[in-house]
Amino acid sequence: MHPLIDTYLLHVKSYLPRHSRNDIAAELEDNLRSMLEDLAEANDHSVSDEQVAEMLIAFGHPMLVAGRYLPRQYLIGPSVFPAYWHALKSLVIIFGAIAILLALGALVFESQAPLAAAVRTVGSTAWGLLAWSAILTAVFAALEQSGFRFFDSFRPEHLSRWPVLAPRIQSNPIPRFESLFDIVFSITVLVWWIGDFSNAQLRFADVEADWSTAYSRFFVPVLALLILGLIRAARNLVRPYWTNLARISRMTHVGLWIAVLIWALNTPGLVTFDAVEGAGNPEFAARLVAGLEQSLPRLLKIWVFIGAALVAFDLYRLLRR
Amino acid sequence: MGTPIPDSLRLELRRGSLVLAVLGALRNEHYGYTLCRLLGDKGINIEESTLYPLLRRLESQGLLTSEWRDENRRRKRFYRLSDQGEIALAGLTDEWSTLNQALNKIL
Repeated sequence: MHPLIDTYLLHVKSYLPRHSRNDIAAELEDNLRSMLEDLAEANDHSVSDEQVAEMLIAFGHPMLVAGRYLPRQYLIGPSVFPAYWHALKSLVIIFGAIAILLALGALVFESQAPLAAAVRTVGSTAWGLLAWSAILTAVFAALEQSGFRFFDSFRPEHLSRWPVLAPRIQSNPIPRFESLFDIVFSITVLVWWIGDFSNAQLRFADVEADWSTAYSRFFVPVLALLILGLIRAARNLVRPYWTNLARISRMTHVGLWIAVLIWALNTPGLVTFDAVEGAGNPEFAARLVAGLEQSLPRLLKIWVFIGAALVAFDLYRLLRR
Repeated sequence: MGTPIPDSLRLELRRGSLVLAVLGALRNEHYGYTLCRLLGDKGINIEESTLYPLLRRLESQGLLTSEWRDENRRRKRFYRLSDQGEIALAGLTDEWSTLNQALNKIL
């Protein structure tokens, strides 16, 4: 016929199911032959290689042409895909949270090259996510193949009132800028909290702030709350709207902060302020020390009040819905 | 001149009606190439690479019968509506008329 068509048909045959390969190819060959004859007739019985190539391009790539004869054209169909997509998203969130926790763990507890250890941890978690995604895809493809239908037994009364991943309050968005700010703020405070732990001393102007030994009891709770804040901010960045779960999470988080702040208020001498020896202006330093000693508990009380207002607001929004 | 519409919408609308067009055209016997040209002449443009798998699918569903025969010294596969296909065509034609009437009321 034409060498280009012969090669084309050979490629189509290579992608066809074995049992019907020759039959389909014979039919396609006849069709292409007819097309070639029509082309020749329209061009005074002269057809160039270029024209044949254009004809075959219009007919379609051999793999695509052969693929249309396959009984199944997709791996996961529309009746299984929503469940697959939901599972895949959950997997990404779970592995993301694990990666953050392990990386922070490496940063805190790894004494030698903590940053490299954190990067290694994130890398191996990413490989784990990839492997589990492949397994998940294979499982759902097998379910599709078996004809399993997820949603056929759906009963409205069995729907959970507290969906974990689905948004409930889409009309109530969380600005992404706010989440980004929270992430940067949490990381900054976290790095300061971890880094300054061994050297618990702050100095500004002519005043030194010294932490008492009671400070060490606050280290782990505050660290946990900072990590929780980071996870919440990351979640809000990915899902920038309020859900019931997000509100409960913030209420719990803020509630725990309030508990820690009240604990700090009831720990006398947690932070002591002293004027630095040889201060340039001892009188001003003394006034500053007195001011700080008075204002720190007030500041903590204001934070407790703001936190309580936030919890009350979240509770109101939850109950109102 | 009609308003331009996205190809995806046009294809989606036409996809379901192709089966009806093919079944209707195969009340008379055709082989793939002449069927494709016949449909094209009637305003139903369909690519050969889409038509042939569709013919196979309809045959596997028992709606068409086919046989290889020689014509003009060439082996060709001829398709024709089966008895089951006649019944399906009648049902689909009724369905099409109902749908068409309903759509006309809306449009």
